[in-house]
This record gives sequence, structure tokens and C-alpha cells, in this order.
Amino acid sequence: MIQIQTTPAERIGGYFRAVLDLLGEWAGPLDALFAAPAHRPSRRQVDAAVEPLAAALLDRADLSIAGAGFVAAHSALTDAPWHMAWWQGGSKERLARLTPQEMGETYARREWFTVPLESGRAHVTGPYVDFLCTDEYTVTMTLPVGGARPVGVAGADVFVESLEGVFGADLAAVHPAATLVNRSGRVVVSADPQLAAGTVLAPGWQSAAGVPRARGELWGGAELQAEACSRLPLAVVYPRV
Amino acid sequence: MPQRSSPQHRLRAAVFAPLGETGKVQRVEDRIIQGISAGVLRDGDRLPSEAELASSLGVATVTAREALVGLRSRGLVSTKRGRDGGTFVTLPRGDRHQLVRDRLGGMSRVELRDLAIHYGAIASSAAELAADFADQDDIAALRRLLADPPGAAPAPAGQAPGRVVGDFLLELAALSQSARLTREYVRLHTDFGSLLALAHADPEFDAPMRRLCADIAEAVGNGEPDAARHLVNRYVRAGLSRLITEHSRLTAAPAPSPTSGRTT
Repeated sequence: MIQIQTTPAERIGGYFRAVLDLLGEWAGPLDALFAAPAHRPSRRQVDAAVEPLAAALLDRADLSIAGAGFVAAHSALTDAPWHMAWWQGGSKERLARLTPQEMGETYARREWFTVPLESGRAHVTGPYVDFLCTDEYTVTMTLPVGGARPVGVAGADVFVESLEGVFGADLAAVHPAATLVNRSGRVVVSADPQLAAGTVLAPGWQSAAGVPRARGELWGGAELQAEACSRLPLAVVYPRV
Repeated sequence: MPQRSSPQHRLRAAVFAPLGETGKVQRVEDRIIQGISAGVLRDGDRLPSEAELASSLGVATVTAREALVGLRSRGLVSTKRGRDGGTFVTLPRGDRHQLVRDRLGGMSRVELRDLAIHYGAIASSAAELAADFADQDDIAALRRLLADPPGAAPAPAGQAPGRVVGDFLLELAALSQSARLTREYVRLHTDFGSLLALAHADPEFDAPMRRLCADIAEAVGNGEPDAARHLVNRYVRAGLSRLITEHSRLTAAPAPSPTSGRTT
């Protein structure tokens, strides 16, 4: 699944691309469901289509996925304004909340939902404490569904603690302090064991202006080498020698 | 007092303390009532089925069933049969406050203060961490929560008072980057937060507390952990003070005699 990558950043980004590629394969069955705008699907139809897809992703032991599913855009379904067809954990437990209405109002402004719908591109959100779904420290990968007329996002969660195992060795091979950061320069995983996930380390690594520096007193404010993971809002950073 | 009561002994005892098999029905009822008083469960909301409730709370189905019977007999839920059937929250407008007052009146001041201390410790520690971890997007999201929806009164219809402040503090707790702190905040929020809703029902309390939240967002945005902690503690103290006043009113002994002519 993971293709041959040239740089360490590409190799590390390979994990996220592998998951997003698998989510991209959901386009077939999901597009079919939403093919006719005049006949929007029901919650039951969406659940029936998504459950086997989510289950297959949760079964991939090599990817350590904690949850997966489809989250509908507003009014995309015929019988509910909002809907989450989402399954979690080894037992593929259905995510159920008491008030779907409130749930929708809440997820409608979450980064993992809004960014892919607005940009039309895959997104990686987090690390963040996901108090809506997993109740854990989570990274969420999401992809818009429906092309020009988006009907929702397909997504998968991974626990930050699982990523330690996935990337630890790859990062250390780059540099003893090599660190995977998200679009805001927040630490996802670091080879530097003292650097906590969630720390804002490299704000502005994406900016073209000047060399980015470690924030505040982190790494003594060192200048950073930043290698972007292509097509993803992620980079591997480490102090410049 | 046992002879060996070193701290180590106490911690060991905690490991093997009973998990509390008894009183589970009551605890399930209390949970649902807390959810209703906190405004998390609203009038007409469908509850999970007996089996779902049992599985999510980790109790036997028969326990969940008994709890629902108890809630039904108190008129807090009703059950409809048939295709669109299920158990629904039934809460005539205004009753939520009565529910909360009953709970407040049943507490001791010691218990109330202790709950506020616990809530304050969690919320203020989360704020302190958030000030270290938040980025500009996080601050913008916090500020959006405080912005009044256009044309809305302090608490839009059907929304529990204090919801804005509660939602704000929940987002803030999550910015601590700690899943444990966030879970603990959520748990305490349905507990202490539902009591605080009584204080928030008064706009003279709610409005300055929303302004206080704006100050908290400011401190977090400026990366000032001490200030953020201090401001959250100020909120909890102000809320507690209000609740103690209300508690005293609720538990005050009735006037000695109806003819004593006590003026108010």
C-alpha cells in the first residue's frame, strides 16, 4: 500500500496518504448513493453503505484506526438535517449520541468537517482532544465526498498515542529531534522524547518569508529545517545545524 | 481508625475499594436527572433504548429498566409504543430549574463547596495549560463561542442558561491537550455546571461572567497561564457565592410564626 518515497518526510506522510487513499475509494459507493439530487438517501441507506467500508478500515491492524465513517453535510440526507455514520474501535461500535440535532450544530464548525468541504481537499486535523467522538487525544483525516456538490466528508480517527509507534523509528532516523508538525506547527509526534504532542513548535513553517524558528524557548529558538509532506498540511521539522 | 493508615496504605485500599454494586439504579436515575438539569437532555429528546442505556452506562439491562421506571414515576420521561416509540424526556418549561433547586436544597454547604473546589481545580488547570498550547485558530474558535448569535436574547429559547459559559469552558478544557482533564471537566460540568445554570438564569450574573470569559480568552491568547487560571477561579468563586446564597434561601427555616410579620 505504502509507495516508495524519496524523502523521510514523504515516507512519514505515506501513512496519512495511505488512509486518505483508502477513504478515497469510498467515492464509488457514496457517489452512487448521492447520484440523483432529487432522491437524497436516508440515514438508513447511508448507514448500510458506510458500515462495511468503515469496518474494513477498522480491520486494518497496520493502520491502527480508532474510528471511521461518513459525516453528512447539512440537508444532504432526506430524513435528518445532520448525520454521522461513524463506527469506533475493535468492536466497531456505532457512535450514538442522544441529540443528533445538537451534535450537528457542534460538528458543523469543526476543522475536520469545514476544511475539506471548503477547500475540496484532504485534510489532517489535530492532535486535539476529541470530546465529541473518541474522548481521546486524536488525529482525524478527512476527505470531501461528492465533488463539486459536496455531500459530506469521509474520515478516520487515529489516536496520537498509536502514532508514536507508527513513526517513532522513522523520525529518529531523520534526526534525533525530528518532529512531525501539523499546519499550525503543532507537534503530532516527535523523536525528541521531551517534546510533548500538542506543543506549538513551528508556527509559520508554511510561510515563504524567512527561515522558521522554534517557538519561544523550545530548542533554544533554533532555526528549523522544514520538509513538507506533499499534498498534506504536515511537515517534518528539526533544528538546522 | 485502622492502625496502619500510612498514605501508602490508603492508596492500596483505594485500589481494592468496592466498585459500588449497590445503588446503581439510583445512580442511573441521578445521571439522567443531571443531564436534564444541565440542559444536555431537552424536552422531547429520545433516550437510548434500555439495552443501549445499559451497555453505555455499564450496568445490567434490568438496572436500566428499573431506573426508567423510577424516572417515569417522577414524570421526567414517558414511553411511547409503536414504530416511532421510545422513551422521551418530558419536561414542562421551567421545571428544569425546580429540579436543580431540589438538588441544591438537598446538598450540604460542605458538599457544595467541595464540588466547587473540584470543578475549579479542573477548569483552572485546563485554562492554565490552554494558555501554553492554544494557537490563533483556537483563540478565534473560543471568541466565536462568546459572540452573541445575531438578534438573540442572552439565552436563546430552549437553551439552558449558562450554556455559553459552559460550552466556552469545555472548549477551553479541550485546549489543555489532555484527554483526561477534558473527560473530567465534562463529568463535572453535568454535575456542578447544572447548579451553575441557576446562577446564570439571572442576567446580572450571566452578562459579567460572559465578559469574564472574554478576558479568559484574551489571557489564553496572550499566552498568560497564571492570568487564565486566576480568571477561571474568579468565575468559580462568583458562581459558588451565588449558589450558597440560593442554598441558604432554600434551606432557611420557615419563619417562626406566620404572625411575626417578618418584612422582606
